[in-house]
Amino acid sequence: MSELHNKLKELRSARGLTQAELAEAAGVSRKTINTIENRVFTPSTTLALTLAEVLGVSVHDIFQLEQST
Amino acid sequence: MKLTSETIETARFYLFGLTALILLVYAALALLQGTPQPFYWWAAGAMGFSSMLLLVSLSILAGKQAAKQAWDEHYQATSRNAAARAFWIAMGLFVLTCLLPPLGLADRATSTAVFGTLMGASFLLSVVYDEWRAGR
Repeated sequence: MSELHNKLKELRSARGLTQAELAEAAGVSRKTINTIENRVFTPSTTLALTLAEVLGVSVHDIFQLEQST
Repeated sequence: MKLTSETIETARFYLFGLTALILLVYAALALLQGTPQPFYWWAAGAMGFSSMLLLVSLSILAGKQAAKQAWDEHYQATSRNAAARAFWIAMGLFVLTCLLPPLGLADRATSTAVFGTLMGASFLLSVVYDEWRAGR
């Protein structure tokens, strides 16, 4: 079974952005960013693409499917 | 004071919680006092309507960007989950409140009032619970 992992926190921190700043740039709430980073909430394709655009990376750089046993 | 998306989210959290609390108190008092109208019947509705007006006003005053952030896809997913959970809670409540009159615990009008108010509270409390878990 595959699990969705993400590197949103690392990529955001590397750019010196706070959750609130990334949230504002992506047009979502800070809580949304927090829940994505903590893998509580899975974003829509539209939001995933928006986050990738804001961070200047591809969606695959943020989200990866990893096999779990 | 600058109104932000967090202001709207905080107001929504407390207003939903307060409205749910009024509904819960109404249901509890209706059951305890054995009357479908333990206090003003319009109190819960007025609280809900006032909450809606306040949230709409805050969203307009905060601006389009802040409103978009506050009512984003995470809130919509939370609301959908709460509605789904409230549906099944309502099914259970329906059965339970239907049993009240034959068991002599409440008359039909009172059990209907208890069912209606708890049904509303279940959705609002589900939203509040999910928002709290998500990091409020």
